[in-house]
Amino acid sequence: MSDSTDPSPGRRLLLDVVESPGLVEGLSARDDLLSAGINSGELIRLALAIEEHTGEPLDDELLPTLCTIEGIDQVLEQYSVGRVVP
Amino acid sequence: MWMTQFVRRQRQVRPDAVALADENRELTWGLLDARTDALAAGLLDLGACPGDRVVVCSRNRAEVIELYIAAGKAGVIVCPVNPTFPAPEVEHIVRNADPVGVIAEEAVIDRLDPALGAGWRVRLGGAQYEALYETPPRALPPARLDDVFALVHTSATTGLAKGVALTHRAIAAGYTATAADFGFGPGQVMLYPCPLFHGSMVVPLALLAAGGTVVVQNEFTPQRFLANLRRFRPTTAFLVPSMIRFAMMAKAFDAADLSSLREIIFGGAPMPRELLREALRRFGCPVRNSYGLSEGGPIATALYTESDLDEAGGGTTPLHSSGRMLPGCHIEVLDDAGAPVPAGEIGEVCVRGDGTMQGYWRDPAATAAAIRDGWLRTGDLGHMTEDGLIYLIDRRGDVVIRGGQNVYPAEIERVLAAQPGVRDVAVVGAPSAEWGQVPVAFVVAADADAPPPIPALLAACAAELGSYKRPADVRLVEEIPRNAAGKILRKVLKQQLQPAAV
Repeated sequence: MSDSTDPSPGRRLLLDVVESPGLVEGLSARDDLLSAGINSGELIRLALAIEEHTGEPLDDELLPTLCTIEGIDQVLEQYSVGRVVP
Repeated sequence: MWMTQFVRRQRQVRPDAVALADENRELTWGLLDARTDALAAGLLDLGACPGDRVVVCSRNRAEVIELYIAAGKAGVIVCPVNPTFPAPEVEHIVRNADPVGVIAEEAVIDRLDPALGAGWRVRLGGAQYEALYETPPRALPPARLDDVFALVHTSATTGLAKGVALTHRAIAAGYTATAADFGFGPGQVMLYPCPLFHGSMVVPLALLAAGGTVVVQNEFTPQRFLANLRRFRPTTAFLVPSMIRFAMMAKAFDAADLSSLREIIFGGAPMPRELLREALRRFGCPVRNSYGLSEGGPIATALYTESDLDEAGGGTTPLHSSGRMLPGCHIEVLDDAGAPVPAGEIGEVCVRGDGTMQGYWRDPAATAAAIRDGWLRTGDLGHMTEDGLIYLIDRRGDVVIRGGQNVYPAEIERVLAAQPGVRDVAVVGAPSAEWGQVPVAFVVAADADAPPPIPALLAACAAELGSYKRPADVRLVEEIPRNAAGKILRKVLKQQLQPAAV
């Protein structure tokens, strides 16, 4: 569980891939990333970064989940506890 | 009416073959012809008249291509708009096109409604839209080949978007050129993840005209692209270089089913030679480079590459050439006065032929500046060899003027991209008190933990370029910013620069 001073893993990963980190800092966990100005290229880099982070191919069915920071955290959590069967 | 003709002909020849698919549906030629007839009648019933514009604003889906065909059948001009654009850009395009109506995904209408003009709205996939497929048949007005088929708005990286008016004749020219040179025909299946609002939508239309099958991918992600290779078993795919690179970066790439691919086609931006070599090796099929621009057809030249051996590797493959002009497309490299330059000398690449735009929509001044003496001035600087190979050097607007001498960023990029440990590179002009401008290079390391030594990069430039062309600075960055078509966003890089102390 993260608090306001400890960014969640999903937020940290997102900060790593966006060109303008300021866009991420003002986002709540449930804000839509595309609506907030994160572009599709950055989301592609995010998906690839998740693969690097987990060491596993990302199931394409999970891609729509990566539309919020909460969704990114869920995907990371699923992979970390091995619940995903690609 | 060409749009009617090609669909009708394919329905007559192969009514039960699959013409068009996306991730949710597939349509035979019989269905595609019937549905687009009804849709065309529906557009006319909505009040659109031949010559009117209708905006289509959607992510990729099969219905978008149906709408393009239906508009063509009805003589209505389709105006594709990027659904992710912010309101001001959409508002500009709508003001420019002055459409009678908009067909868009529900979320797009909800987000952009005030920017979509005063015309009617139809929500793509909604009940009103689906009812259009039930419109009773009616006589469709015969369009002429020189009627405008589409208004494609050009990239905003050069300023406010301009509407490129492409006629039915231009679309037909795209079919003729690709059928003759690419061998498009029945039995071929193209996976198309590039945006359908882009001028490259002529490529899937050309394959359809030839009787092939087009599979529209909703949006590009490397993971979905690789999954779709397995699912749809395409014989070809049209991609921009960034997509190829991202696909090869995905963890699933090495286990992907690439066995159906006979070739990969890329366009939209030049491909770094190292990336091209990697694509040839890892996709295991030939790669076809296509060069063009919305105003020019938009495919003007192509190069089919089977071997990654260029002169440096003991082979003859001109890996960094954009290829030769396609059938029906005349290309010359001209000087500013409109005279051809000798082989090997740099000039402006100019295009003429049936594929060339009619002009910029309601912008005669811009049209006159772009088309002179029948030649479309592409703004691309390059040279042509004696045997017709085109080598692009740069965009005219990207020239860095250092002490009164022109420096073409692509020349520096070509040298740096060839250095070990360099994954990507872009060069822009930085303000300099002493020289006016100096070139600065942004370099992405292939391995962030072992970046290429900057002195070695500068030494390579010194070895291969005139001294005034050496970059004043080389900066290591994580990524080169590019637009949706893969073109370098030089303005973004320039914003990162402070006046260089040179």
